[in-house]
Amino acid sequence: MILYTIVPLEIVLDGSETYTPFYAELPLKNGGTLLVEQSGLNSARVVRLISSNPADYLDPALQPGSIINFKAENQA
Amino acid sequence: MATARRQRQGTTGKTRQDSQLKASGGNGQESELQNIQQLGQANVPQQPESSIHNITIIGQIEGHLTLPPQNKTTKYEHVIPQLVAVEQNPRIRGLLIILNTVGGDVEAGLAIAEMIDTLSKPTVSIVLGGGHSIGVPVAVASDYSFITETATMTIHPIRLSGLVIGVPQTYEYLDKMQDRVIKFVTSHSRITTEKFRQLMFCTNQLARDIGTVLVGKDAVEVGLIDEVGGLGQAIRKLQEMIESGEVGTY
Repeated sequence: MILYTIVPLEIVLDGSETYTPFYAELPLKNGGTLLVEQSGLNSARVVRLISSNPADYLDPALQPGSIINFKAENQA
Repeated sequence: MATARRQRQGTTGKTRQDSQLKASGGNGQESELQNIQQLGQANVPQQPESSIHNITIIGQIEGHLTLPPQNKTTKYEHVIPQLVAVEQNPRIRGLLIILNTVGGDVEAGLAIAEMIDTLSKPTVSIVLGGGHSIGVPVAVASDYSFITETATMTIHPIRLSGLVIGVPQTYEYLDKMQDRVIKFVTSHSRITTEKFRQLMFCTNQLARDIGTVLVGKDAVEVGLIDEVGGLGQAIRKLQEMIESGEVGTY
């Protein structure tokens, strides 16, 4: 991999050795997968969308950085 | 549940909690609260249905390596399928690309540039702030490019990085990588290969590096960018192209 950037490499890669994010996979209704990172006790932040449906990539709710709030649901 | 929570609370801080509950009550209000947390502003302007899609290329263009969190990144694995969606969605008639990037992965940058270039719908790009290094091919990939008066573009050679073995083949390899970028830029803008190489290897411009910084109209003068302008001009140009039924050229 070659980086072509004006930012010094030490700054770009600073902390890359200790950076160990924890991601979880959430299945989407229509077959895709959402890679998320826990952002609070009841929420997760979208990291990456894996889907073969290009329209999913235009959905604002599935953009990287958007927050998903978990809600309890009655199963009755 | 809300009432139960309210009953359990003491008198202190009750009003604050109440307003929080209220704020997260309605769906619209909930998203407004999220906007404040995420974007630092109350509301993102809504428009009925836009025929223009907008993609912003910001920070580092992230490639095969996930960069540590101090970097703001544009994820190419998200931009590429978005471009596919733009190409095949009949309601989207034009694409606006806004760049404020410091560069990034060569492969990822060139991949985005090639996708923008081969899109069959009109594309217009604006360089705002900065479009450096690998941002240059992305900026010139569109059908028409703008740069704001104060925006800058840095053109410099690809540097040696990471594990380097000092053999002639290394330089040969880097030269090849550099040629990919030069070839793309020169075949998608008015600049000549000689001029671009000259800017790339200029020694009297940057303090600790070789290369050239082009500010606003300099980029237009050397033939890299089509016109100096901002948001208004870019949208107008895109609309003109859409109305005249122009298809993206490549």
